[in-house]
Formats: sequence, C-alpha cells, structure tokens
Amino acid sequence: MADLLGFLAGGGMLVFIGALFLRFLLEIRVVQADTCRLIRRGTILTLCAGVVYWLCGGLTNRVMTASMESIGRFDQVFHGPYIQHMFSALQKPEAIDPVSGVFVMLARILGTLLFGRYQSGGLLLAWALTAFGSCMLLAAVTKIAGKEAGEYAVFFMLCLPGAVFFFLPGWAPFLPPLIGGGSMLLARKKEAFHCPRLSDIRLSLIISVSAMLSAAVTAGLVMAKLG
Amino acid sequence: MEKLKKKWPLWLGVGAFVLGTHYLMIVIAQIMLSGSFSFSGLGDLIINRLTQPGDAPRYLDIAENGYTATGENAINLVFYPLFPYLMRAVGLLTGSLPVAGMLISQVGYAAASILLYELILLDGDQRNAWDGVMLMAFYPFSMFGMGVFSEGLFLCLTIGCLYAIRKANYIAAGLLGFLSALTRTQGMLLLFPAVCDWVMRKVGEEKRKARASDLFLALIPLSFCCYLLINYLLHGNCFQFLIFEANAPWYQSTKWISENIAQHYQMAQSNPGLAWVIYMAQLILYFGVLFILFLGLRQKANLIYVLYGGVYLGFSYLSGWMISGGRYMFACVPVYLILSRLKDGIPRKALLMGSAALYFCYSLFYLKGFAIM
Repeated sequence: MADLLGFLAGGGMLVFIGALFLRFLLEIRVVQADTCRLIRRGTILTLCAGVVYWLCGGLTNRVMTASMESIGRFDQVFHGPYIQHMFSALQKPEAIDPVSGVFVMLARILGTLLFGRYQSGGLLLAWALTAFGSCMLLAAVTKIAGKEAGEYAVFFMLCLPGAVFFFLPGWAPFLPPLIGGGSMLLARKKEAFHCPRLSDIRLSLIISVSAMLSAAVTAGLVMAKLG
Repeated sequence: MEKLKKKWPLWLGVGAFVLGTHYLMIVIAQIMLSGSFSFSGLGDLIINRLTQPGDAPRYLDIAENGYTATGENAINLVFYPLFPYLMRAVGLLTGSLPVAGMLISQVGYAAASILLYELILLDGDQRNAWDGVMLMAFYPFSMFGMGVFSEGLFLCLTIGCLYAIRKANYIAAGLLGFLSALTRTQGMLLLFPAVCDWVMRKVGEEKRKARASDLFLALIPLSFCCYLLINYLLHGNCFQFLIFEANAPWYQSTKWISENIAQHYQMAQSNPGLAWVIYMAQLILYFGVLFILFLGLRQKANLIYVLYGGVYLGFSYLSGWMISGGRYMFACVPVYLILSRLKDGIPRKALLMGSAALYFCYSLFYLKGFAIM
C-alpha cells in the first residue's frame, strides 16, 4: 500500500508538471487551444491505457501467483527475461543492445532528476514516449479522417497485443512515436491517402478482441515468474 | 487614500473575524479541557500552547541571543532570521519576547487575511473573497498563525508579494519576496510565479516592455544568498544549515516525493498514536492539494497561482522525515485562491462545513498538547 501511494503521489506530481507546462505554452501562445485539447486527450487516453495494463498486471500478480508484492513495484510485478534485464540495467548499467541502451541512457538522466530513482525514470520515459506517439497519431488521423477515426486509431495502437511493452522500459516505447511520426507524414499527403471506412461496430469489435489478446500478453508477462 | 478611507471598516472586519474566531476556539478549548472558564486558565493555555511548543523556543532563543557559532544552540541557524530579529525589535517595545512573537504573528495573520481578500477580489466578487478568508481561517492547522511561529508573517509577505505580482508592481514584489524568503525557505519559490508573470506579460497579449525596475525580482534569490552569507560568517561554510538539518533532531534529507509519501504511510502504520495527527494528515493533505491544483488548471485559475502551488507542494514534500506537513500547507496560499472560485452549490457549502469541523478538531488536539508541530 505504501509503494502504491508513493507511486500515485510521484506520478500525480509528474502529470501535474506536464499539464502545467502545457497551460504555460497556451498562455504564451506557443500552442493553440485546439492543439492543447488534442494533447490533453491523447495523454489522458494513454494514461488510462497504462493504468488498465498496470491493474491487469497487478491483479494477475495477486491472484495467479498469490504474490503479496506491492502493485506499485513494476519491477516485481512484470517479469520475462528482457524486462528484468532492463530493470536491472536501469539500476546498474550493463551490456545491452544499442536501442535499449539509448533508452537506458535517457532514463538514467530522468532518474537523476528524480533523486536517483532510475527505474521510475525508465517508467516515466516509457509512458511519456507512448503519450507523445499517441498525440501525434491522434493529430494525424484526425486530420485525415476526423475526430472519431483519430480516437479509434489511438485505441487500436494502445490495444495491440503486446502494447503493455509500450509502458515498460525497453526499445518498445520508441514505437508509438515512430507510428505517430509516420502518420503525421502521411497526413501531409492527405489527398493521396484513401482511408477505408469501417463501421463503428466493426471497429469496436476489433478493439475489444485486440484488448483481450493484449491482456493475455500482459498476464503472460506476470506469470513468467512461475517458470 | 480614498480607497483606505472606504475600505478600512471592511478590512477591520476581516481581521477581527480571523483573530476573533481563533480566540473563541481557545476559550472553548480552555473550557472543554479544564471543565470551567477562568482567565488564569486561559492565560496558561495561551502561554503553554502558543509560546512554548515546537519551534517557538528556538525562535525565542534567536531573538534573545542571536545566532551562535558554538554550543547546542548553534543549530538554530536552520531557522531563517527575519521573524526572530523582528521579535527582538518589537520586544524592545513590549518588554516581552513571547508577547512580541504573538503580536507579530497575529498582526501578520490578520494582514494576510486582508491581503487575501483583496487578491481574490481582483478576479472574483465579495462572496469569493470571504470564502477565501474563511477557508484560510478554518484550515485545520491554522492555529499556528496565532503563536510564536513564522507562519503569520510569512503568509502576510507571501500574499503581499503575489498581489504585487498581479499588479505588475515588480519593485514591491521583489521587496516583499526578499522579506518572505528571509522568513522561510519556501519564500524563494515566489521567484517562479514572479518570472512566469513577467514572461506572460512580455510574450502574451500585453506585450509589456522590459523595464529596469523589473530587476527588483532578483532580490528574491538574493535573499537566499544573504542567508548563505550568514552561514558563512558564522561557520565558514555557506551550507552549514544543511549539515545541521541532516542531523538531530531533524534528520532531514531530500528524496523524491514517492519515497517520502510511502514513508509517511509506513510511519502511520507503525505509530498509530501519531497517525492521524501527523502522518495520515500529511498524506491526505498532499493528495488533497494536488487535486485542488488540478482543479485550478481546469477552472483556468491564474497560472501563477497554480504554478506557485505546485512548486510549493513539490518542494515541501521533497523533505524526508517531514512531521510538519500540516503547518507547511497552511501557507500554501493557492489552495484558498482556487477553492474560493467554487460556484455556489453543495460542494462549496460542504467544504466550508468540513473545513470548520476539522479546524475545531485539530485546534483542540493542538491545544490539548498532542504532537502537532
């Protein structure tokens, strides 16, 4: 419970700092109100998705593994050799692939700002990159096909099987910005891009099934500790 | 002058309400704790609980003997100089340092309430302004504004500085911020809203041209340099106060908020007697204030208020082994500024009622002698 409260307190402060910075940019007219609203929506969607995966993992950890570890300790909830390797590389730099190495380097800089909490720095970086990618994707698809399509696109990305890795340290959090950046480039050529129209029901079914599979991957990551 | 003539009855009313409420609380507490009213009992209660507990003896020692380089009172260096030295000056008139301390605190507290009223009036109406005054008066740990503590003076200087910033009077803001930063460490944080306001006026709609008088804002960080100079003159080390804070009796450290919050919860579990007067109160206050700051963003409250509230909250809760969170948050002025904007309805009325009830409970606990510090 103590770790959970600590996580909520620290996370809440970081979200507040982000929101405050956005409001400042709006006040000095660096961003427009529409852009602010878009960033806010994209970030909230990402945070909600992250919380869903976190709860999913925590619940699985408690029920399936009968573990009493705090839900706030990501390094103890999520397992798998790569994830554990990343968590330990954040604490103590060790040999790792180049892309993950870049992540570790950036995460350690953030961790230094958080008074030596390198794992927290890694989680912050992962969530921030994913939010950034979500916002870009939302902006791009909204421009191409409208607000609803934009929201479906973000949900689709965040419900991909394995999307839980977007919220954990590693190379995966770099994918949402790449997806978002690619979409922004496509949006520039909007006239040349034909977006097929699917019905709401079909899109909802796709997202639901995808989310279920994603939850399965999340649970698998937790149950990896059972061997 | 015209404004003063028109407003002084109202200002007197605000000050009288704030001080009167607290003295009423002290009288009620004296009756409840001793079973009957007596002037001597009242006097004892005031002396025992407003001039002797917590940091009060240390302020009185500095006022009497100044900072010392050696001896067990050398650690008093961690207390900032304005309040105790002002006590010393006023003490020459009153003949008693405790009375001087209470006078400064209570005059400061009353003045802070009046300034808060006027500050809220810049954006709202009289109802909003009175709400802000009531919320500050009925803050659960507001009894600290009445005793030999720096809260009353700090509040007065801080709210004065924020008012000056809102009026783009950077000379006054710089001077008041300088004095606030000489009263408590958190006074330095006024630089954030000051600079933010300056930037917004320069780059925003107003397109205000920079002036030489804007440099007065540099007085705020300069104040901290003055404090470091005091450290150096006494101990040959500008950061001696950090060494003292890290040792007994404070054992302070700087850790990320998550660790400190987790520690508060663990301390509440292992010390049930102190849980609800210190640790759980600090925990609830943290999340409560954070929620209020998000509310401020949503309400589109003035950005400098939300910014100051955020840096104040973050800075305060970076302290490891904190036991005075309730007292620190008393001076988190943006809380009153944001909550005063609530529209009339059930949440507003419930807030006033709940705040007043908690104020009664925590004031009673404090006056009884529980470890609220």
